[in-house]
Amino acid sequence: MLLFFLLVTTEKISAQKKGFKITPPDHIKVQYAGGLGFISIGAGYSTKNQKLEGDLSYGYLPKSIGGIRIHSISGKITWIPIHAVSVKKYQVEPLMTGLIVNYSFGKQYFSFDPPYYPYSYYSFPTAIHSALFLGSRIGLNFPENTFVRRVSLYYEILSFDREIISLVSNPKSLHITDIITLSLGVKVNID
Amino acid sequence: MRFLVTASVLSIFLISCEKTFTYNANEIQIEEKDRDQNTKNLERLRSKPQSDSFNFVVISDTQRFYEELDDIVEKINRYPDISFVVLNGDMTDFGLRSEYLWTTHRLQKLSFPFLVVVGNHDMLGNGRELYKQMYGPENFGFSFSGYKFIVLNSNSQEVGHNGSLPDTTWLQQELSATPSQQKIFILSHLAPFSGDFDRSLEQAYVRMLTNNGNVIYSIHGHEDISYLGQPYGPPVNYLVVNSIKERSFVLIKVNSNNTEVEKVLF
Repeated sequence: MLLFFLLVTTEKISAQKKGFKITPPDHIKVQYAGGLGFISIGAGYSTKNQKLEGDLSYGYLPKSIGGIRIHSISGKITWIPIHAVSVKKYQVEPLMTGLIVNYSFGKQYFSFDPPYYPYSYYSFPTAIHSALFLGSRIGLNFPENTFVRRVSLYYEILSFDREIISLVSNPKSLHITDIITLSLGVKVNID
Repeated sequence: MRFLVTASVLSIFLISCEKTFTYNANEIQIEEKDRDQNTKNLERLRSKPQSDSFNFVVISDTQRFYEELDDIVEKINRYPDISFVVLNGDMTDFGLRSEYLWTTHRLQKLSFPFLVVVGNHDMLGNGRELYKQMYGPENFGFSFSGYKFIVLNSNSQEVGHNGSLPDTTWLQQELSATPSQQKIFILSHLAPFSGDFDRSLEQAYVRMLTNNGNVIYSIHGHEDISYLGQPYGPPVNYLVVNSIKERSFVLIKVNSNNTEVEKVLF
């Protein structure tokens, strides 16, 4: 989250130097699953070299799907360590990896232990969950002069913090398939 | 090429993964086979032959100790004559659906009926709702071989010691409704002498058990210690079962003359 805000701030400062007040996001994302909600919608910025991007999204999980209704917001930092490969109008980003931080709204969750617990009773916030992910993306480039520059489809394989901790302390009983889960999404680069 | 490799890895993953999509870490959707476990296991228990001597096992605080849980299931299954197994609270560490499922799927490998008592960790986040859906009511009673078992949510701290946990009104009704010839075992996660128990309810709880006259054991977990004694004087024995991380469980042998409590290391 902090990194994301730093990223946004840096973008803003560089934009102000050029005489702009605010830079609109350079992409929007719509994602299915992956801990962000049944469906989530977000927007964000990429660095000039396209190696790093940061998004902020809102996600909704209806009761009929999740057993309980959950509104949440998430921050996502994606690092794209390998150069995109272009084939005709298509662009493949074979590897992306990063961190997701999700905050669920609801009075049953806490970010800090409520006052009725002894100090540091539970050392984890039930409202906040983070996850690490790996994924790939394939995109279709649009002509230079259009508002939509590229539409990409992506997937991410992710694992949540508490599940990684559980696997690490139980390597014989838990398996990687117990802790990984999938997201599918669409990223739209805009001008 | 790399994309093809990742795509094939992805397809294998899609086929092999139990929960392909997670919408939110706090989600609570549950399949039918994992619902109402206590209710379903009580039905299994009712169909068992009853006799005036029987054995049952109490394990506790399995939290994030899945390797120990796998071992304990294997160890208990080697006994020929266990009537039922009780997990006395804290079947999860974070109260999450994934943990509820990991623990439940391991307990389902037991050859004997199993019952789970709600622990403080099991109530975190949406845990209380998960327990309700996967196990049933937090407070319930059942009879077996002429003995009464009362299961109680005693995790006072999770409600900020507001006087609602344990539900002493319900407990008093359940105790009063028990026929006088039935000896009583009480199972709850927090002992009344636990630092996290509601101080304003400690004396009420203890008095209720002592005055009843038929309560022989009040069985707890949570403290990560093993204890058996009568801290409030006779006749009620208070038993605290250690966490399975210490690789032990308690075997309780009941017969018409006496009740033996044996700590078993595994």
